[in-house]
Amino acid sequence: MSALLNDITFGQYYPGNSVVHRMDPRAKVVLTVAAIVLIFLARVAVAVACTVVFTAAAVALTRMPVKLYLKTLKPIIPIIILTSVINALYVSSGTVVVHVWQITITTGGLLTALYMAVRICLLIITSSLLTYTTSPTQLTDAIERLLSPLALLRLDVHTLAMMMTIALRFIPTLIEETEKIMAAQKARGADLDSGGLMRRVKALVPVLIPLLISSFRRAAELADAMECRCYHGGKDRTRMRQLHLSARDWLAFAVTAAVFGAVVAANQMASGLLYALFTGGAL
Amino acid sequence: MPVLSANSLCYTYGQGTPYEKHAVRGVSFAVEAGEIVGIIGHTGSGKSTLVQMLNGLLRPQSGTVLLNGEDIFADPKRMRACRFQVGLVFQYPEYQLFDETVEKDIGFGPRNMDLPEDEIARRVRRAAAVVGLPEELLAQSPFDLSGGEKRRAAIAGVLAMEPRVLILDEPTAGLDPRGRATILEMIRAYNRQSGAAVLFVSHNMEDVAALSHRVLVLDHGTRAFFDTPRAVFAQSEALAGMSLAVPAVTRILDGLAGQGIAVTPGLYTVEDAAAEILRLRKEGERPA
Repeated sequence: MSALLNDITFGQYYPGNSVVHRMDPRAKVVLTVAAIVLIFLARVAVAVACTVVFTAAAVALTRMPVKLYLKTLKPIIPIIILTSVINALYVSSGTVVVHVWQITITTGGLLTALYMAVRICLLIITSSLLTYTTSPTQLTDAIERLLSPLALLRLDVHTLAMMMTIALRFIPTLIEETEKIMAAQKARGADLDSGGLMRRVKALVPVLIPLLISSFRRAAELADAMECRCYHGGKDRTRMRQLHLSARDWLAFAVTAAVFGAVVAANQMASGLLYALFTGGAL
Repeated sequence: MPVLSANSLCYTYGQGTPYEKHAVRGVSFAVEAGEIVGIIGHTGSGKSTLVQMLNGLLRPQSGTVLLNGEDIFADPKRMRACRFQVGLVFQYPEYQLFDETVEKDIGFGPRNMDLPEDEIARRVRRAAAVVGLPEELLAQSPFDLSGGEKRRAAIAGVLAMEPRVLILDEPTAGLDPRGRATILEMIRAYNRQSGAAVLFVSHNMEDVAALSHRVLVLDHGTRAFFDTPRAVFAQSEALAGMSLAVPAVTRILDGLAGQGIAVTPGLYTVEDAAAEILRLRKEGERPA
């Protein structure tokens, strides 16, 4: 394990034994997609509040330090600020708050900006929740199962899943390897972190070439090792770990469905209310 | 004054995460110029972490590294200069070769030192000679060399910086007996010619016995022994407790001692052991 590896928090499995960790990975993948749809569906205050509470509850259930989730938000702070500013400036509805020269900021604009910021945060937190609580093996297992209907379209789902598993499996290995090579070239005085763009790109050559060569070597070795153990693709392969949907997964589905209903209802009610206000005003 | 000294170095990987691991805890030792120090310890005892702190690649959470009496972490701008003086050869260094020709690859370090071209060429030839790479290989691609040649070319890449302290992490791992002997001879030659201090990590007790003036033994990230090979190898029981062995000849003499024969403890070279056995025979030593 290494320093660079420690800096990468987004998308890293964080071992634990919470209810969320023990859920069926298929359920987690489906529910994450549902939650993302939910987050974008919420248009009014009550609905957005619902999604915030829902996400917070899920985070609490993982029994992991909240700090870890906040850390994943750090790299996207510039994006949040940018979208918020653009929304605040371009959306004009409600009453005017500030009007200076060409710039007009309205209550509607501020509200949209806030909702957008909240949505982006929830989006990142929800997806890191999935990768924090699900090991890469479980994740690809789940994706393979969920995509298995595509086999009818003559798509080789097993090979795709195996490629994904191998790719995920080798990310830490490659990071470790990169670090080792970087350290070795630094020991020979390579200057990897100063100078202009061209200089830096050039300085990476002594790192990238050995990395590329070792990747090819590893690929060949892995292929040999797999063949030595009689790997021949997905046909007739059985699994050591069978996936089972349990009570907690069904409960999670039910709760998510309820929140879904609440968000849709809140949206409908709000638009109905607006409609009534508009028509009432017109009359 | 020692050329390199480590003072209560500590290093923890992944501080504050569930993967936290204390790799090195409070290790101190000092190396004199011209000395060869063998570093031994079982897998995971902190050897590789320790050597990476000695040239500033890893920054210890506490403790200092003094090079010629100066703290190498004091001024980040001088860090590179320190790395030229403390040359570190990693495990399997042949995987770091990258340049078009062996000559350019060996010259990578000296070129980073901003030396004039003729000086670089001189150093490359000298380093190649120390590791025993024939001149005609210098114009070849490093990827066309044999395994042992690649290893020697990679080590030459560090030697060409002419470091005052040379550190090698398992320089003989994965080599055949002949390749091993060549590397050991090369280490000795560099030490003798340049007067540099050499530290080398090894799992092979015979290598350590053959080369070291002193031996540093690490156990779970702490310093277990730092003494002459004779004093260290006299502790065969303590070493066994750390999953380490003593050289084969020492084991034979320990076996004789176990039979009640008055063997001088801690002999570790074949020559000394032979002389000792002859002496015992002459004196007519028999089991009591």
